[in-house]
Amino acid sequence: MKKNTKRVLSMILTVVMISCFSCIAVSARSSDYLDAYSADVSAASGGRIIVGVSVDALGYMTQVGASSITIYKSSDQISWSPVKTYSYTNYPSMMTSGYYYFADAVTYYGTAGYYYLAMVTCYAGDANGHDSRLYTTSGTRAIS
Amino acid sequence: MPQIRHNSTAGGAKEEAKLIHEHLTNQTTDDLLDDLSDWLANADGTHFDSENLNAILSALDEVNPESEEFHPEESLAAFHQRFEPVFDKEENSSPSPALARHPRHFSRRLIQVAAIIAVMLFSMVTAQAFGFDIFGAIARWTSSTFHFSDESTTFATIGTYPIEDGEQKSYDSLQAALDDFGVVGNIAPTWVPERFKLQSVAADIKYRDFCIREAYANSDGEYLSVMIRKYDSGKQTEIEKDTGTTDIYKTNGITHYLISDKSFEKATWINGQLEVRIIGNVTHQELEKMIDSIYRG
Repeated sequence: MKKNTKRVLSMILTVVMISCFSCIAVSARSSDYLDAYSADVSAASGGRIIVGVSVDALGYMTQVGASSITIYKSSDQISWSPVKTYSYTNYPSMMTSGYYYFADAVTYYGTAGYYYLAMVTCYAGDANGHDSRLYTTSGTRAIS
Repeated sequence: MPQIRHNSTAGGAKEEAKLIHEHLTNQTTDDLLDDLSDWLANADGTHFDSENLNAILSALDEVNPESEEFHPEESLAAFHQRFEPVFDKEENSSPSPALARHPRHFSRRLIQVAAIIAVMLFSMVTAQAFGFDIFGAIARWTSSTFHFSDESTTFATIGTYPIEDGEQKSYDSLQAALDDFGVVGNIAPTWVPERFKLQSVAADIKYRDFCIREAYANSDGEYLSVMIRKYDSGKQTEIEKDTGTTDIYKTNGITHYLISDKSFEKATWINGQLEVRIIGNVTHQELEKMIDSIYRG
């Protein structure tokens, strides 16, 4: 059998095997607390980077919001380094209490010309338990 | 006092254009290509800044003018010559001699094509498994193109922004909130299951992302919510779901996606400038009845 054909067949087998694993991931996906969530990064003048977060819970929660937001910086959009982490313990306004959704934004002062993205941990919980999901935004270039 | 945001920004259009032109002067080709890339990322089917695009293209023309030696006819002829077997096959509708002479080469291509299809299918399955709704993304894309090709379908639009960025406002009903935002189009359900009692209707704007939420609850701890948000093609909302299939419910020219998530049923769709989502402890039939009530007027 030709070397290339072997390689292609190996790839197909790998795909089939990984597909089986992904089926297991489906059952673990659904949350008892989170309905939907999104985040985005936009650039404003003066190098400002605005991270918007929206979290919808499955009903009224004791706490809903973002438990952490980490901002990453890059000059080439290939290599990313963390530059700032906002944590709920330091910034209590990242969560709201007794409500079914959270929507807010944080502003980070970046450097014009660099790219920034955010990794947001979306959180919802009540007296019975809690759940969280990590959301990664796309990169945006800071402007002067 | 209601503020019409579109008017307030349009007032400074000339000044903005001047700033754009000044910004583009003395930029390198790479910078201009970055600007063009940013412009493409921010444009969608209904909103794009043509003046900014023209300015970028003009600046590119100045920095890197198109060669006068470029001859499209000669380039086309060279292209045809380079891919002669492909064009021969299309024109003659018969197998290419080059391919017929190399059956092993053909079978290798077939395997490669099969592998690509397998990888694509796998990617779609995995994307669904991890909550990234690739089918939804395609559907939204389809909605955008449908907007241009079928004028008989009405699509919802936002007219005004009655509150400022960072503000929240409460309403007595979802329709009252939609009216306040000057939303034109059928969006609000006029029927919900009788067991639910209205808890709140609130609208807020966070950095131009407006959202209206209507929440219901009952004494058994059941919950029902209708959420309406300005649709942003660049902002992917992850919606939790269980392993059940996503059903499609088409009515009034709009495709609604029905998703089950354990004890909750969810529906989501795009209508013009708006993204709508219903979620609640309701049955599949109740969800469809709620959607039908939207378009009965």
